[in-house]
Amino acid sequence: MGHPTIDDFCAQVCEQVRFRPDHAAIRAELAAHWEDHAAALMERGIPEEEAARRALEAMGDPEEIGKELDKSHSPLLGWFQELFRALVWTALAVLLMCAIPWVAETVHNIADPPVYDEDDTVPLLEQYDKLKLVADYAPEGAVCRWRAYTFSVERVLVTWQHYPYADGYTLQANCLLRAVHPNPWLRWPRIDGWIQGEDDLGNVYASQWQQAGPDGYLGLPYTVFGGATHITPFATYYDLQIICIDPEATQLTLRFDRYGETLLSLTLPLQGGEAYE
Amino acid sequence: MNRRPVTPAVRRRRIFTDALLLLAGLALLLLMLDVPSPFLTERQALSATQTRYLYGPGAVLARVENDTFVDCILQDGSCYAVCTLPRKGLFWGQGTLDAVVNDPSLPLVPLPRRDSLLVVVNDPDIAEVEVLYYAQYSGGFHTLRQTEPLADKCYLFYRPAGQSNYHFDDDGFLLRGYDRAGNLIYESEAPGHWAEWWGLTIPE
Repeated sequence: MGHPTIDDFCAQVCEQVRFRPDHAAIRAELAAHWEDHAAALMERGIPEEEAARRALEAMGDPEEIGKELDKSHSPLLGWFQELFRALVWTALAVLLMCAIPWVAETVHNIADPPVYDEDDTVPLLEQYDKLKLVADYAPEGAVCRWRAYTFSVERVLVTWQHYPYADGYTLQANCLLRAVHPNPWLRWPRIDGWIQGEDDLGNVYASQWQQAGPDGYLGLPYTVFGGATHITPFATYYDLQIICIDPEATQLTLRFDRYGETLLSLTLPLQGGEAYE
Repeated sequence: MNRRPVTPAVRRRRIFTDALLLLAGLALLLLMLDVPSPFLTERQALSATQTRYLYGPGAVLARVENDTFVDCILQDGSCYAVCTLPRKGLFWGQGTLDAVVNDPSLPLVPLPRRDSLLVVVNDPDIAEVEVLYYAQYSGGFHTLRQTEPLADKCYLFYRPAGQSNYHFDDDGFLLRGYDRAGNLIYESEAPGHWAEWWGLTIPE
C-alpha cells in the first residue's frame, strides 16, 4: 500500500520527467528504494513512522531527482523506440500470417518437388508400366561443383524409343539434374540449352544452342531437349531429354562447355543401377 | 507488476534488436515475393550475373553506359562476352550474358545479341569494321561503321533507334573489314535468306 507522503514524493519527481510511459516504472523503483531503506531502519529498532519519515528525507530533493531522471529518459528516444517496436512487431505479425501458406508450399516443394517436364517426362511416368524400360535409377557419385553451385543427377530414366530419324529403336535418357545454391539470389544457373551429351562410342548429342548443323548426329541439329522446370530459392531442377542415343552405347556423359572449357561433366551408365524409388 | 525503468542503453539495444528483426522480415518477404535480388553496386550485379552464367571470372575490357543499363565487355581466355546490367533507380538488377569463343583463324568473329553486336577483330590489318544488315520493315539495307575499337580487338555496335523490328541474332548481317587505306580486305558470307527468301542483291 502506498504511503501518502511517498506518493507525493513520486508525483513531484515524475513532474520533471517528460516521458510519461516511464512514470509507473520510476514510481515503483523509488517506492521500492524507500521501502528497503525504511525496513532497514526498523530493523535497528526505529519505530515505523519515524523510519518512514527518515527514509523519505534520505531520498533527497524530488525536483532535483526528477531533473536528473529526465536527462536519461529522453522522450525522443523513448517514443521512437516504443513506436518502432510497435511498428516492427505488427509488421512481423502480419508477415508471419501471410507466410504460413508460403512456408507450407515451400516445405511441400522441398519434400516432393514438382520437377518433371509436363510435356516430356510426366507423360512417360504416367505410362510407366507400358514403357520399354532399360534402366531407372538414382546415380551415385554423379556430382559436380562449380563455385556457388553443386550439380547432381537425381534420376536417370532410360527407355527404348522409336523416332523417324533413326532406323529402328534407339535409347532415350530422361535425366533429372539438380543445382543446389545456398544463395537464393543465384537461383536458376543459366545452363538451359547448353548441356551436351557424348556417349562412350564418341557420338555427340548436341544442345539447342551448340547445334551440330545438318552434318550432326543423324543429321539432326540437336538432340538434347529440356531446361529448368522447378526453381526454388535453394535448388533448381532441370528435366533433360537426350533422344536417339546409339543403342550400342553403355555410358552417357552430360557436359557444359559453352565457353570452350568443360566446366561440368556428369557421367551416367545407360544400363543397370539400383531401381529408382 | 514491478517494472524497472528502461535505461537509454536498454532502449538502444531494443532498437537494434527490432531493426535486425525488421531486416529478417524483409528478407523473408523478398523470398516470398520471389523478387530478383536488387544489387547495391554494379560490381555485385556483374559478379552475380557471371556466376549464374558460369562465366569467368575474366576481366572487364570496357563498359558502355546507356540510359537504363550498362554493357560490360568481358574476356576470359579466348572467350569474349557482353554482359548487360539493368539499372533500376538506386539498385542494379539481374543481368544477362552472351558469349563467343574466339576463332583466331577468322578475321572477324561476331557475337550477335538482340540489340547489339560485338565484333572481335583478329586481323591486325583491319582498321575499320562495317556491319551491313537488312531491316525488312525499317528501310531495307543499313550500314554501321566504326574505326575505333571499344577495347583491344573489340567493336560494339548498337542497333539504331527506329529499327526495333530488326534483331542481330535472328535476322543476320554481313561483316566487312577495311584496311587503313580503305581497301576491303575481308567480307563474311551473307545470310542465306537474303537471296533465297527475299531475292536481295548485296550493295557495295
